[in-house]
Amino acid sequence: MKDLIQKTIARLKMEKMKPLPKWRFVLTDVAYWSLVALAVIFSAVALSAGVYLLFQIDWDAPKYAPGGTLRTLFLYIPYVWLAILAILMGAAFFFIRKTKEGYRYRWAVILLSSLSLVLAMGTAAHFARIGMVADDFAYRRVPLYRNVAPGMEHMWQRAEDGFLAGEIESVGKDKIGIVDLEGKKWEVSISENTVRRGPFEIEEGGWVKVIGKSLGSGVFEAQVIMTGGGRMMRGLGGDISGRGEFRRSFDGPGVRGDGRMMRGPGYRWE
Amino acid sequence: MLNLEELEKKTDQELVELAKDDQEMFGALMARYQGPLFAYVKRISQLGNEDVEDLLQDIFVKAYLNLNSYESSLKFSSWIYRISHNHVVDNFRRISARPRILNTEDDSWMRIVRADTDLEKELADKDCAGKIKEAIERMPLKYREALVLRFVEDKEYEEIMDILQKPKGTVATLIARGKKLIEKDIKKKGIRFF
Repeated sequence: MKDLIQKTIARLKMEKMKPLPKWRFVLTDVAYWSLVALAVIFSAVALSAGVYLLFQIDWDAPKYAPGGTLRTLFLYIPYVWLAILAILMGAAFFFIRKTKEGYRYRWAVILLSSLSLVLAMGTAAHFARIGMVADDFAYRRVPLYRNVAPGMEHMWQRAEDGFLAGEIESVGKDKIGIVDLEGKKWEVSISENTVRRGPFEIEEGGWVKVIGKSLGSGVFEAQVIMTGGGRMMRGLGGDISGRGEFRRSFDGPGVRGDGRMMRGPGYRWE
Repeated sequence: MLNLEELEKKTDQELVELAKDDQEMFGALMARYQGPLFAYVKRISQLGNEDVEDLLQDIFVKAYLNLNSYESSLKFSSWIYRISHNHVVDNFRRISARPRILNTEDDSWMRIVRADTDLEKELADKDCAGKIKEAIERMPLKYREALVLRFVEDKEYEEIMDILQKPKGTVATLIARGKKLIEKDIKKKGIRFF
């Protein structure tokens, strides 16, 4: 096999081969670690957006509805963000394994470490309102997002299921007139059995959420009336151009000056 | 120019540094590893001598081109075995068909059986050598290479981990499963156990 050595050296000389420069290998490793970092960062954003949407759910409302809380959970779990999180975590694992030392660690160790990092960063991102911004951005810019990630406005636009929300147009003795989120007018009848919740009075220009029964032809019988809170204004009325701007610029009719309709950081659900 | 005696005294790491600037120095590294690598590639690829030599030349060329990726924290033997393993696997994927040459002169595969002392004690048919050999050759590459590295090449788990680029636990699992596969296969062939 001495021949083999001679042949190989002859080939190296003939093809003028030289060892690849070190920086190429360093750059490759840096590139993989950068991809890991990006995957982890975006996983944290996805987690934060998912948590944000979960916090937006009106958990106390569904118990009045057919199917109850469990059905609401299944309808409004942020599947899109969970799927994105899963894909990105998979990508992070894949890229870690491609790094110089990544092969040494068992998948469980890599998964637990990545998950811990994503949880920590996701929590910080949530408190920094990054999840809210991500959701708003996707809602406005990503086609079909609102179809696959319905927000609370979807829940409160289901009069046929007993959920109605809108601006109070008129207040009578035992009925109120409201304009729902799609602009349709409703006459909501209130009885002494109707449960009232929330900090505000029922008055013209205010916003309400009503749980009850649709009697058809724009008539709704209220079992529960809630004033204030809930994230139902996404995409409607205001100019959603960013986290802070969305809240401040939303001056649509019926919104109180301090915008207390918006559950979330900066707004109180009382 | 270093003479043969001086070259033999050099460590792998020292030869690597010299080879980066002098292709002839790389020849000294090749001389050191061509024997073991030839046997290793032959065992896991099951190709004939000529094909193995072709593969080995490609492996050495790859090793030369990637000399700057080698770091002394890793054993040089692990590093070059890794290149060999990767190249054989890539070659399998390229050609997809794997011609089998039964090398009856190479009884190194028996070391795999002997390493599992329970298995060897249990075998009543001492003339079942051919069937055992077939069992080892038939098993998927990932198990065969783990067994070959451990029991024929006498590599430690740490080295096998570096060669195959798999976690230590996975290496242990591959070896355990490989041994189980041998046992299952030879039992199916009706080879008697005590």
